[in-house]
Amino acid sequence: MTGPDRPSNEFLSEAQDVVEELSRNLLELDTQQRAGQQFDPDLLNAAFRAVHSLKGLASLFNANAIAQLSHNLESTLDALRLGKLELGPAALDVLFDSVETFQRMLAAFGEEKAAPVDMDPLLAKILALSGGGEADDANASLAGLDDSILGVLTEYEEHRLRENIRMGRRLFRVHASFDLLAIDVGIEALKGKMKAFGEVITYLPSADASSDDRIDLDILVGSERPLAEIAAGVAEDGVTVYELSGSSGSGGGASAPAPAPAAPRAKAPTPASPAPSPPRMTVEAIEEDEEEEDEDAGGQPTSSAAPVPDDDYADLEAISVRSVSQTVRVDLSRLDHLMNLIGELGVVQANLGGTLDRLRMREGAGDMVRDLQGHLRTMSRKLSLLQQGLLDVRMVPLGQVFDKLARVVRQVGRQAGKDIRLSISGSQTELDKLIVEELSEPLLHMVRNAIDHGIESREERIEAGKPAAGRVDLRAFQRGNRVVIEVEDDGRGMDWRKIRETAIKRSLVTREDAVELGTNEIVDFIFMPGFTTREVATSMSGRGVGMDVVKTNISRLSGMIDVDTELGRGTRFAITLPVTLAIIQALVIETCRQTFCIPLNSVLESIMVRQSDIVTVEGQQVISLRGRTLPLLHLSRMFGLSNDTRFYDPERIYVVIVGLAQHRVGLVVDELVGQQDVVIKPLGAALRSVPGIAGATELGANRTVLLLDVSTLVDEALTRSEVVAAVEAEAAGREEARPHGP
Amino acid sequence: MARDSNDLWNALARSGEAVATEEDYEHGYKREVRGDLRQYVAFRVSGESYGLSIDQISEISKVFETTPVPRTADFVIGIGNVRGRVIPILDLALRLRLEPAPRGRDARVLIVHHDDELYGMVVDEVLYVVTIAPEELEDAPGAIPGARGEYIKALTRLEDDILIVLELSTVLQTRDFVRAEHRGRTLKVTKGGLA
Repeated sequence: MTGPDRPSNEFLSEAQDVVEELSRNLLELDTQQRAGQQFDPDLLNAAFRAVHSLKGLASLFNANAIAQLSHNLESTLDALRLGKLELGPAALDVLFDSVETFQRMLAAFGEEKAAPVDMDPLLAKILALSGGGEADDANASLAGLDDSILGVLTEYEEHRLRENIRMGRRLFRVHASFDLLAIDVGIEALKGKMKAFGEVITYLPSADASSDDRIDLDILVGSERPLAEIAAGVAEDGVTVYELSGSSGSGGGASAPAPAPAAPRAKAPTPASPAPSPPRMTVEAIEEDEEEEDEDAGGQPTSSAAPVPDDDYADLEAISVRSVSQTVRVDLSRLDHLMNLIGELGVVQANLGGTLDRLRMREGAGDMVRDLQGHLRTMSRKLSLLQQGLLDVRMVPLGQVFDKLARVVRQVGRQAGKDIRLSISGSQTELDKLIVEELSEPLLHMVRNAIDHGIESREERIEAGKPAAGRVDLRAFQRGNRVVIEVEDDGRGMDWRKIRETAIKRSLVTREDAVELGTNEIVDFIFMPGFTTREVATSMSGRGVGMDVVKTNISRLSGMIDVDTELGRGTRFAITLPVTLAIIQALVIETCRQTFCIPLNSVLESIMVRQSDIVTVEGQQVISLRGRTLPLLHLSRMFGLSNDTRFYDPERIYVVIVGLAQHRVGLVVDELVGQQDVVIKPLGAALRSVPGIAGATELGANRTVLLLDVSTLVDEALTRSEVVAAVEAEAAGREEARPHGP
Repeated sequence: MARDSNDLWNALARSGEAVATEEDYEHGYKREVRGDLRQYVAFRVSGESYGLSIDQISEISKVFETTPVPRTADFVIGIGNVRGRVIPILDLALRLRLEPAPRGRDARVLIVHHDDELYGMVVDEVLYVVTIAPEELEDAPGAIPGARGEYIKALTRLEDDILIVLELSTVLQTRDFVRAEHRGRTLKVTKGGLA
């Protein structure tokens, strides 16, 4: 059998998006609640809409269990947003639970073998929640409000209106007039301003329209601020603010004639948005028809000026179907295929270049050569555009992973009984889809580690004079053609002395050698296999659990990982990754007549040294570069290539400096050939595990060339303790020399 | 119209009946209908005849350029590019611990597939294709002395030859590809192991 069919794939990815949006909304609500703020009703509303869309989607695709769960959840969310239920930690727990359940259900969907996800316990919880004491929808007086307003409000709007009055806010009527063509932009802008003051309760079409090409709206706003301030804040052409007499505030204020709203459908020209709408259109079709759209939800511009009550389901389905066709989802393997083709075209192009060169040697072909050269240049330009375009298609924001991690933080934090503040930055940083996928597990592991083992218990923290809540930072940013992801906690940090003891106990290093190691090298032991067992975890407060696995995963992505820790202050892991794996820039080198590629993102620089610059310290060749001592590695020796010295020129020794931060080594090679974009191809199951080789690629003329796995080579070099010792000794020597200097 | 004939064809196929093909008619419809006959490709390695089932072989190619891969076992010649895919190429004589014969003009690369991966195996010469019934295969790898037994699936006696059928799962045992001192440094990471 082939995999799930297309429609169900479409359903899955669409549903996944919706669930992720739901999750984002919930996380934000959770943050607000924990910060003790009033929750933003828009968020709850967006969550409600997400579940509603999911329900529609699920029934469209016969995912009955998902439809059933969304139906139940929808009722709960409806009750929550109408204030019939209180949004507390218990409710949020159930909601987060549902997100997890949805995800499990989606994972099981389309796989015949998968056992159906048991959602009864969750349904019971949802039911229990709804059964719980109803929060009283304070019967705040709506006196003073014109019946003509009340009459057109939906239940939800009326609830928000009451809420606002209960909170002692004043009510304002903002009259705005928009140009028919620019209404979507105008409303968004105005909405943004008004949200700063309070809550937008509803938009009503105004009866006193001035002309045919304008639309007048009355917007009902609840705010604590005085009239003058709001009027100044939203000041704009065609906008006037009135305070409604019924407001409970100071009671006074300019009482304006109540608006006379038109009947909902009477005069509501629905300006079709001229701009292409983003594909999240399902949110538009909900029974209550909320006008407010989250800007971050993709900003489907407010399309109808009047509330259109009770859309029926036929509408919903029509719109869902339409949204499916807005984006094309492509299997990654198809993109890989295209990428391969482009790579092969690149090879063809290189070959053409070769032919051109030969043609140039001939006489009498001048015009044609020039022609050909021109075409070839155009082709290579287009080819690189094509390549870049394809790479862009593969890019996804890291936010996808970060959102998942945010849920994990919440969950793990609760399990461990620790209060964790997670701060995320750089979610919009983009990486190749493949890398993002491969990255989620290592990141998950690191975040778990940070919470489980890094962050101390509440009591410990207070005793240490730290804030009671632990902090975990997730940061991503681009640096050149690399992306750096940092996971930092403000926990207890790692004690290098304990790590050293464990390393000695595990015979990763002898006691004599260990004494020579610097703290950085010692902390790096956490990346060694064998540093993973529980026993170690408890005896050294557990950081570094499974870090070897994390490291292996990262280096498989041609990435590197660095750790920086301070006892009592916290730990920071930094992962550096190439932006894409499919095509990378490589430095082409030769050694012993064999050609290799080195990923350019791990090359710091290439230098040329003389034999006389090389010093031998305890059997290890080193050079000194800008005050730093670098161990030298001969690629030919590491790879056991023939030791052909014919290419060896003591006056011109090429050294490629590779590595990251404190781990730098110089690779001695015979020749630097040049830089080139290369398409990386896997070596297959049998050769994948050759250490130091990351893959293969094709250079022109049908030559297959190996790509080095720099991170493994550097490790290999540095874990040979004599190298480290030599470098340390050298460094110590300089240290000693310093005080005696001038 | 086309629909009807298709249906008939499908119905026959479903019912498990052999459907006569053009070829059958041309050959007088005498072809023996036996489902368990298998075709083998015979090839020579260091003077001995070996065979592989024809459906394990995806193509036979002339010897092409390869790139050596450091840190691999002696029988790994290197990697080569076959229709855009990079695949390992091995010297079958060295793999079977036979005395390698000088590689002549008849040498070929058998591109075989095993476990969803392609491998190239260099042999001295491709001989012929032969149809063998299962009962003609002797399940007696013990007949071949020495450690080579593990690479042998079966033997079969042909009129003037003994054909040794190779066991690909041992010949292509992936851990043997990397030289012993470089094994085990990279770890297998199981999916979900971190959850």
